[in-house]
Amino acid sequence: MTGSSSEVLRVGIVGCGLATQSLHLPALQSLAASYRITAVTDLSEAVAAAVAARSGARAIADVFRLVEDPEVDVVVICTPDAFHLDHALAACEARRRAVLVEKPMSLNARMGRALAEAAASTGVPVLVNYPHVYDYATQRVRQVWGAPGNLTSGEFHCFLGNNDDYIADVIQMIRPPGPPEPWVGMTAQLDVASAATEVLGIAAGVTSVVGYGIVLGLTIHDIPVLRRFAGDQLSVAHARFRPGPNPLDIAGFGVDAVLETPSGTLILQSEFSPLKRTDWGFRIRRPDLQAEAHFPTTFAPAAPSRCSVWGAQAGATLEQRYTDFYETGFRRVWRHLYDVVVHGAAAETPARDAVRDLEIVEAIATVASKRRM
Amino acid sequence: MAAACGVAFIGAGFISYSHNLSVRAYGARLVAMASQTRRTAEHRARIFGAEPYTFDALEAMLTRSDVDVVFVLSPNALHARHATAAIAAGKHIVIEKPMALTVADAEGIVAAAQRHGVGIGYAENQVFSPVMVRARELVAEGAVGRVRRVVGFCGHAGPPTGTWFWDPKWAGGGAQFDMGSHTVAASLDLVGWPEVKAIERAKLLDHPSGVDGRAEATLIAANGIELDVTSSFVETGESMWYEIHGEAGVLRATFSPAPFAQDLTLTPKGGAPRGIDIPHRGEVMQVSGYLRSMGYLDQVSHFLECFDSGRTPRPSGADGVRVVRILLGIYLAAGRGRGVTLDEIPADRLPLELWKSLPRS
Repeated sequence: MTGSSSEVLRVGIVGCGLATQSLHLPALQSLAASYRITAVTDLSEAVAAAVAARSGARAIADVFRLVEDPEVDVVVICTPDAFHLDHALAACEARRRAVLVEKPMSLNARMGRALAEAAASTGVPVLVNYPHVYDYATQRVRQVWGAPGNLTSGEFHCFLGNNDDYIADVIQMIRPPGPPEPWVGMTAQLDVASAATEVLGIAAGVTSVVGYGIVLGLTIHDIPVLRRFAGDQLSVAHARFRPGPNPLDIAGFGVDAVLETPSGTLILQSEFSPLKRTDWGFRIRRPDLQAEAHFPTTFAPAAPSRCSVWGAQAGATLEQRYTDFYETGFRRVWRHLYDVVVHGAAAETPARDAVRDLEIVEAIATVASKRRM
Repeated sequence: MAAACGVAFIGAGFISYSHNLSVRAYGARLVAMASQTRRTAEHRARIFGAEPYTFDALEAMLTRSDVDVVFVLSPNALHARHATAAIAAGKHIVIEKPMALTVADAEGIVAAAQRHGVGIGYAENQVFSPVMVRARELVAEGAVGRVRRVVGFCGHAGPPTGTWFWDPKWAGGGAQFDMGSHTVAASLDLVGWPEVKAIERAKLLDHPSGVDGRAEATLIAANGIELDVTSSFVETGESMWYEIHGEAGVLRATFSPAPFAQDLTLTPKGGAPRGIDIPHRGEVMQVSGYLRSMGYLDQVSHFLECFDSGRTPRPSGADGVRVVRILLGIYLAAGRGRGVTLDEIPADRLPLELWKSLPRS
């Protein structure tokens, strides 16, 4: 545990949007014995200055100066997805002690491999932040489940509702002044279109590009979690994009996939739900064990996940429930990263392993895009 | 050329996305791309899967043996320098509109290409859009009879704030120069590129950026056709359309917002309007069909096929020069406050000089 060491790692935050303000800041500030935020940067200087004031850090205008700053040990990359690779590569080149990059690591597996190679050649640990891999519920079920495999049935779902009231009232989100620049959003869409058509081909449906973005941004939460129970012998038997009322909008857009393993079948569903209620979790079975987990709502710095495990024991069924554990995956990933940097622990979600997650993203999107909608 | 063709981009801005997707659709390969800064070049090159270069080290990119065609996609003021460098390296070029800031520079590009025996594709995407191709065919078939007038409008809310488009030094001009290159070229294309001799009138509106925010001009073609073109950076939304008025009726082609607002309507004289089918309409929900609707897909395949076969692309470098000459004529007419003939244009003057700095007469 982190309490035994007195070393305080200095964190540089690249990108001060929603995840930084609602999740990384409270997590880091609650781990003051391990971390101090020393530098922050954002495309909006006003946002960077405000977040710096909240965290006691210095605002640095240029991201590439921040990653080289002598007062930064660890860099967390929370920029738009298309910039993850650039900023994480720069942190590797600057030989930081570790890099935590928000999911998805990059826009497709080719780009992901470039980061994995840089991590290997520079020796910098690059961890991908998958909060549900680090969530207490997942970790607890894994302790009971043991090694991946033997899964007969699995159901992973992420129906993500919006959380605007919470974000506005509770975290007092600092937003860039002025109206949003529409071209920034268009460029982000074109980045996804470029990465997606590299995989799906140029004749892919425009809706498939939107769907690729959903798999890359939302379904990807579940992929590394399911691999930790099902193992890596996975194939995509079925996948489908379910567009919402406007086929070019993510609102109401769903992705379904059926994955097969040597021992069983998994169903994976994700959707940007029009309802405000977020329903996010999984159910898994193997002959001797059944488990389910329910994750907290999104962008909540302290919210409970829960899980239940049923196992055969002495001719009866033993039920165990774990609830009211308020530490989120975001706080736990930071504790894990401290162990990696200070105590040399093996990284749970290294970049080279996250390449596999992006390969599964590509496989799901490829099957779905070939299916007539 | 398809399989073997290697492409390099000079410029990594917004338009590079459309060209990259179109190059990929054709089966050619983007091998390298350059930008002003290393960071931008690296960023876009990582997404596109190409090798990054910077403008100050272009030579290394242009001498690559795996590059056959260079796309000049840089800010307007750099087109001439970048185009001539690529041509000198023996590469065919595709050049974005407007071709150059002065008539002399645009002519210099064409002369250089002739000397080095390479081709120029002038990237006016609109004329490759199925809606515009069909409109041109209908006009040629006589659907509106003898053409009297073309009315063209291209407007949107302006390029992103803070970008080079608003800076006279890089853009050369504003709505008339950057947007109006579309309005002028597409209007001419609809009626078969008649020779334009004179600008009858022009009115440019000042914008606080220093470039023109909105522009209206009337061009007179040698065959008597009048072209009324309006180009704007100050609209609330994007709208681009053309009307061809003939003795037997009016054809209206709506290009943008592409693809969903695209439309072709023929109104015969004294008759009711009727919609005309647009080819490839059913494909616009595919990425390739979406690109095709805006002309990018067929533009790139036409240029690359022409370079392979030795044919002259259409629009050619010479067409690009004609457009630049007309655009500069419009600035001159606005500056003079009267109609001008195109032979009055000083070859080495910039658009805003012609508009604002020459003595009125």
